[in-house]
Amino acid sequence: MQRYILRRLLLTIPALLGVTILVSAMVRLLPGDAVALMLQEYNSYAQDAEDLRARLGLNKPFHVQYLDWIGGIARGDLGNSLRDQTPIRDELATRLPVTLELGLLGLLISLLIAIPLGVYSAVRQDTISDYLARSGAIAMLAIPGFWFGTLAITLPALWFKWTPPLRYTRLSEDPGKNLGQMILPAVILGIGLSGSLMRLTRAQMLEVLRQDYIRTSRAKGLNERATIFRHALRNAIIPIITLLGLQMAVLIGGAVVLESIFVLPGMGRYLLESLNSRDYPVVQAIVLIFASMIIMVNLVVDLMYAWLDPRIRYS
Amino acid sequence: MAKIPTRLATYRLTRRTLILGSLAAFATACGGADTSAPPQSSGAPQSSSGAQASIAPTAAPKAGGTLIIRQWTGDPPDLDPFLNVTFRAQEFAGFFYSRLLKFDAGPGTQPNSFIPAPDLAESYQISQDGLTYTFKLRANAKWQNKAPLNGRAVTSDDVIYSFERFRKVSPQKGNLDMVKEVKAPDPQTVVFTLNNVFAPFETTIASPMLWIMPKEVIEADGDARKRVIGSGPFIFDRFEKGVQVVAKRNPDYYFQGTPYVDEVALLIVPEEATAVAGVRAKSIDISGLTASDRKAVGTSDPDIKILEYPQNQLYFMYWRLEAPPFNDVRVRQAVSLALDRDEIISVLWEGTGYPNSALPAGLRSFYLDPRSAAMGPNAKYFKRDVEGAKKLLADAGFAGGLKVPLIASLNAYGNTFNQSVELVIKQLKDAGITADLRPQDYSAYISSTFLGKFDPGVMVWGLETPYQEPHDYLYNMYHPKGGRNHGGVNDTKLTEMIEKQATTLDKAARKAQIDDIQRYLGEQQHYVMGVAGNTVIATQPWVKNFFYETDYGRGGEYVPKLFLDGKK
Repeated sequence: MQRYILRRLLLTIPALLGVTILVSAMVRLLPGDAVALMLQEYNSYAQDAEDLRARLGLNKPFHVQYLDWIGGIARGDLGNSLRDQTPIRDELATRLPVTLELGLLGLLISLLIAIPLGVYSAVRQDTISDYLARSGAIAMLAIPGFWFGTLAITLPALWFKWTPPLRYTRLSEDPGKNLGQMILPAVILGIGLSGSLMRLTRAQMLEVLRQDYIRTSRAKGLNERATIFRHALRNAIIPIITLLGLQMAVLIGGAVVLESIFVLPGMGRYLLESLNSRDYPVVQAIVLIFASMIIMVNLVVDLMYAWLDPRIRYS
Repeated sequence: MAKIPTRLATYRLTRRTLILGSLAAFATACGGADTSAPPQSSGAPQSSSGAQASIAPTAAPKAGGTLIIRQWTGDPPDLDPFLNVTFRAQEFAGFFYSRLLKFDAGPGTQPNSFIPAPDLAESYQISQDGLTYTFKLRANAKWQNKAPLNGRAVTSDDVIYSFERFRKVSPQKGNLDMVKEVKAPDPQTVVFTLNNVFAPFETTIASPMLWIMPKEVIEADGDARKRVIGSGPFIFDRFEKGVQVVAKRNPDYYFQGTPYVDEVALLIVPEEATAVAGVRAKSIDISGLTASDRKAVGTSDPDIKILEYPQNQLYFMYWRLEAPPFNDVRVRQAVSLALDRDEIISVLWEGTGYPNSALPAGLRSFYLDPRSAAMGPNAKYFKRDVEGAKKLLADAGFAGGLKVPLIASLNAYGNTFNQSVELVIKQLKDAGITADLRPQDYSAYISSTFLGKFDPGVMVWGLETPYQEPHDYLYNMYHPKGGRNHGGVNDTKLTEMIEKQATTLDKAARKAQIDDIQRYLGEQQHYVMGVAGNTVIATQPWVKNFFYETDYGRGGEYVPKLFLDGKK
């Protein structure tokens, strides 16, 4: 097991290096650059632009810029933002918890919606409840988060003169107030994730419920609740956990949109603003962190297989 | 000249009740006392006065409370306004730093009037030859009471230090190229000597640009990014990135008694829908709205006050002028004749908008309504005439019509701009001009096309940077050395006219010269101007004494003067 983990961890290094090279190149292939955007509001003086470009190190060849940056990463230095020259590490330290909280809440809510609904739908296959649940899942898949989010903030303001607080409060400052701000975007994020999870849960449960060992457990007189949750669900859950791991990217995409709508100072907004201003080091750092998170979550998912199914062994 | 109303209105369903309501609301809104009106400048030959028409107060200002403004859609990129030129950095600075002059705001002053008025300088004088400007600083001006300044007096040395640093580090340093030297004969006096007469110098000094910065902080830290200590109306409290900037009242502000509010929260709200929801839910006190949101909010929430005033914004068509087909004035005139400006106003701005001349309608002191009699015979080029356009095209050798690529950046300026692109394409088609839309990413657009780096024979529909002085529009867009000469305009007669108005100190004579330039450009159509709508600002009913002037300098202009009455 330890060798397996070590091997997987070592494999992440070339994967992440590949990600950094790709992102560094792609973000520079975008038309325009940070300096042009910084000077856009007023007259741009060619000499000033060149000075600024030199001061920010953007006049160096791409490979030099990349090696400078990756050298910093190796020393634990994510670099500074081109726009405001603040250390990216400090900025991420305040923003990452916001996105993690939103993501975890969204994930939790999606599980709370998808698993019971999927199980219920499978157990009640081809009934009205099943049809309704499946239709609901398709709606959850089809409705884009930005539309749902916009409605969720517009309609309560129109009808009840209410919005979630627009001045973000940190979890450490006031957990109640923080939850009040987080719950609505988390529900929307959760709903967005739960459509596919619910459909997979249902499909897996239907397959498992037809297995011989389920019939055997019922024949032995085990009650239905224990049969479904202890035997069927546990065996159906592995593909669901896999999907959860893969949903990380969807989760991050959803956070980018919802953080903007609900004025949450998270990584998603930081990424969006940095992309718009061509703040290369920030974009690179955020993508590196997101990529690391996705890789780590998928590693954890793989390791969970062994815990969920004793037949699986990593050696 | 077009009638350009500014409406501070409680919105009603019909236009008639809107107008009646506007008048009543305006009278009520103007009732607040303006105790912070700056004193007049002293008896200089051509000094500007800070005094405005006064309206008798009906209620005494109330102190206290937290004012919540939806200020930005993103973070200010830098807290040192000399190191970054974006409007967010300058707007941020307006709350904390002083300028020698600012733009006047108060009853009787229309938004975007850009009338220079005393700020840190109590008065100023201009020499007869127009080359020397002498500013007298306020005796009671102090730095905010934070280390290392600790409330010491603001002196002329601070102004000189700020000026020298500005010329050294600011990307905008070219804007003060006309200054030959700055001297401080005594701690309260600063003398600017210019290389040549420059008529808009007062506006340049009043522009949110040359902030008076804290020498001790910058010398210790290297810049003003870490510590924000000024002599302005508010004391910096905190910047929560992606959330808000919080400012506290400066009790030692030189306009005694102001600011009235204890605290200002400048919210960073990226989405329009969120801002509208915040206005409706009463969690935002002041916010800009789009034209369509104005109608919706006005209908659903009649207690919310809506201020509207003409945009200081140019929607315009440009091209390279050195090559066919746009080196032919008839083709340019045909494009102008093809535009249906009334339709654009009707569709995009709910029927309230203004055709722009070479200057936007929002620059109200200098704007010449291009369809008015004052425009003379060239007014015809601003009225739709499809047949006339076709004839001009035929005369220019395009009897069979013209097919031209049209560049527009569709991911930057919002829905209103994008709709304008669609309308313009449709209108051009009617006159036989087929515009083949080539959408361009904003960052590519702003760093290439907008700077004039695009192929001849291509049309571009864009938005110009808003300026506070006609000279800035005319020089930048039409002078061969202008920084926004998108089309490569090199018109000797026009260049002379632009240079002449810049050295004409007599305000009436200068206005007449600028009118002439607008008339001349009406014929030449180097760029074809579109229309501007209204900027819309929503305020909650408890926001009193709200006299809007500009966005950029609001921190030192209208915000200190307003107060909250009845906010829960």
